[in-house]
Amino acid sequence: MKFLPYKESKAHLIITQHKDVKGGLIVALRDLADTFGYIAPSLFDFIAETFSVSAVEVKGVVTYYHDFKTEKRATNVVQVCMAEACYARGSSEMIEELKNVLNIDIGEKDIHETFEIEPVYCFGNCGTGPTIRINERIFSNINKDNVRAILRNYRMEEEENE
Amino acid sequence: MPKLTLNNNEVEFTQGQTLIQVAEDNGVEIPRFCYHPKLSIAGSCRMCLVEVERMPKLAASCHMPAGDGMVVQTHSEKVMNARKSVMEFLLVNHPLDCPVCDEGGDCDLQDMSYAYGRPKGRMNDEKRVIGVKNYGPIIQDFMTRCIHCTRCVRFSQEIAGVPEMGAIFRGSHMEIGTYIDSAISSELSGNLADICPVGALTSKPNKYDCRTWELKSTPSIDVFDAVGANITVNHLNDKVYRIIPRENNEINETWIGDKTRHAMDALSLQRLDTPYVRNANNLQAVSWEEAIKSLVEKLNETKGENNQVSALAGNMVDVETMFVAKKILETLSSHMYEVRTDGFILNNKVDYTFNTPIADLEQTDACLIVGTNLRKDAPLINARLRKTFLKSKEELKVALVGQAYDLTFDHQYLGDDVSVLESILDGSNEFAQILESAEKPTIIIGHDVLSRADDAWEIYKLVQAISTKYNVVSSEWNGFNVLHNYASQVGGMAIDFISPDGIKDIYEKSLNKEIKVTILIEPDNIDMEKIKDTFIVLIGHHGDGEITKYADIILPSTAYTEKESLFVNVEGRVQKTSKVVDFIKNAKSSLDIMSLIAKALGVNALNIDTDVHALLLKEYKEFATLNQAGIIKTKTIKTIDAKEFKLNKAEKITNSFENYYQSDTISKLSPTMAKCVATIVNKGEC
Repeated sequence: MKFLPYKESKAHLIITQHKDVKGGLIVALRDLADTFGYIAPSLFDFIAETFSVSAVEVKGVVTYYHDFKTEKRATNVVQVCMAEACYARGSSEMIEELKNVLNIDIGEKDIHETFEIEPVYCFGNCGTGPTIRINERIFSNINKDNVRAILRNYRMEEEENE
Repeated sequence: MPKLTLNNNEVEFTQGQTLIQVAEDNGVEIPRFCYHPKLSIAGSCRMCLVEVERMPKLAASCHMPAGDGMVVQTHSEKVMNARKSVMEFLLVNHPLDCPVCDEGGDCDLQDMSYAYGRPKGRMNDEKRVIGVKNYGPIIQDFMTRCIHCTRCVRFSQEIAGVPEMGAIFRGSHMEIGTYIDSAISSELSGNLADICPVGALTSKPNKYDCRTWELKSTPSIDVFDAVGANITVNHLNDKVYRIIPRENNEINETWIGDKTRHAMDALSLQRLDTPYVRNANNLQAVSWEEAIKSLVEKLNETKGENNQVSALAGNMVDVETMFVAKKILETLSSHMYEVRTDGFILNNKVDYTFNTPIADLEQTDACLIVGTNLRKDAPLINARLRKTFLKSKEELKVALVGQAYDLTFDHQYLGDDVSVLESILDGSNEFAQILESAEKPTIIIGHDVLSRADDAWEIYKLVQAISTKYNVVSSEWNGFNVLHNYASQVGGMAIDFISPDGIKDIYEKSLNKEIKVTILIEPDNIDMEKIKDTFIVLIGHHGDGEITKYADIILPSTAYTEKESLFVNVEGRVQKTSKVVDFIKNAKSSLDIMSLIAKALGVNALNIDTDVHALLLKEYKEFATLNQAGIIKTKTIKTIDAKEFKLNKAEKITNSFENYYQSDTISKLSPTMAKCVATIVNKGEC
């Protein structure tokens, strides 16, 4: 048997768990995304083999859904709602502010891979926009002052963990 | 029969047809992009919308089953407006580069745009652009032009069996692509250029070299393998530009292999164009009269003694040439003529053809493949078996004995040991039960295993015994198939162009200098070392260094696109090629050369004015029936006693590991085939 690094063997375990489930491909992909935050392209061949589909089909499914990423993500993904309601309340300015504070552009990661900004569409929190979401946690009524505080919290958490 | 009203006419249809098929049968053209009669239905382009009475919305006719009493309008105002809108959407992202697009003039989108589109687009935004991908040496991509009909995706999944193409990303970012940028490892990949309705996938070897409307088309027959696919040759000013498939549902449907399609670029390379005679170690260009004169002198020297002249035919020799060559050699009292130059051991006294018509392979329910790589030897037969496999909902049981390879569909690999065949015969192998219970079993025994030097006969007998035991041949069904690799072979065997003891005997006699003169007719698998001491006459269309080194007389002949002659395919179907382009310079067709020799020799009943064809028909009446399977087959079936094999048990059944792309003189010289070998074969993908 080929020896696999820890991460890869864990990934293989997740994939094979869903082997016999009907429509297991999408469940496996979600599980992988939840566990690792992304789906490594190096796994496509194994996934294809497990679910008896072609590798290009796996690639098709992964690229179809925006939330399936194929690259490693930052620890904290700052998602900013850019839909109409939040936009009207200034979410585009919030993005500019976030860029300034974190000193990164959209689609970039900072040097410690701690933060990443991603514009998204609507968390269903339109009444109290602008809205951002960091790691599944929603923050409403964001403005220039509280956004720094929120980010500082995450930064501190990061440092504590270290 | 159920009826429906199509554009105010009542028409009949068979149950299960869709509206687009009914319309096509009745001469009503419905525009379509994603629908292809040989592929599954996607219904994604929405171009084939029609109006069906009492239906709330327009229906996609490719998808809508025809029903009794339906009232269908295919060109009403509502439909035309819908098509106009669909066209506009399809053109939203399509670049306006028809003048530099290879598909221009041959493009469905262009035609439909003229017929149904708006004169002016209303799209003001930027169009999306997709970068260059790499699909290998056969297919050129311009994916920016793609309209996402997914015909290529369905083709690679369903027909070629290499699911390498797929749709990635979503919405307006959707692209058709491969998993990793690599050549499509299918020997049928050239068909992608045919089925693409736009200029997204075009033929790379033909890139920017011709416009389709300038080309003339002539129907002809492919001779690169023994399947005899029907082709249309497109040509201009005596140059063959491209070869495309011609629909024949009995043989190739609408597909052809890559070799058939692209090996023709060698037709204008390294051609022999003048007769040469060796004069003091140098080949000297001479006139036809001189060349024939010196040949006949040499042949006359052999008169009086038996078996001093041999004639060896290559892979692409037509029936008439072999017929005349046989007459010439008989006049010289020699029986050393041979078409099975690769050592094929069957003669025409035993079952030697592919008895199941290729179209009937769709009925089989169990198939045993012995010693052949179907993907290499007959990709179209492999595609047909794959179709059967898919049609039977993966019920078709296929077992492979011989070298393992990817058949493109599920099969059981039984190993490459001869003992496997014995265990099938005595019933101990599990596949024996499958053969036993099958209603229409087939056995395909390959050319490679029947060309072995040692146990070929024994293996053939063993397979015959299996066939007898499991009722593969019955009164309604004949499932015993011998697969040939070369176009000339079945025809040559049918007119007895075979020597009593095969090529081995001829080689031996040549080494012993019993044979003085060897006539090579467009040779392919000749072992020159064995015959180099004889006086070698080469009748050929392409120069091959190895052979021309030893040749004493060279007579330039014409290739398969330059002559009208008969070929017999593996099913025993007589087919005729067409003379598409004119001869190269001074070359003559091999039949004319043979007739010249016959005339100069004074062969009875044969001179240049005789109609060889009529003479052939007089002797072999079956050649009068064209385009029908099973015409040529063995006349006297000698039953083989199954009990007498002397097998070397340790023997392995092997396939010769030649690649698909280079199997004969023409394809070996083809630059495109060389590129295919470099990118596909050497990567171990085919």
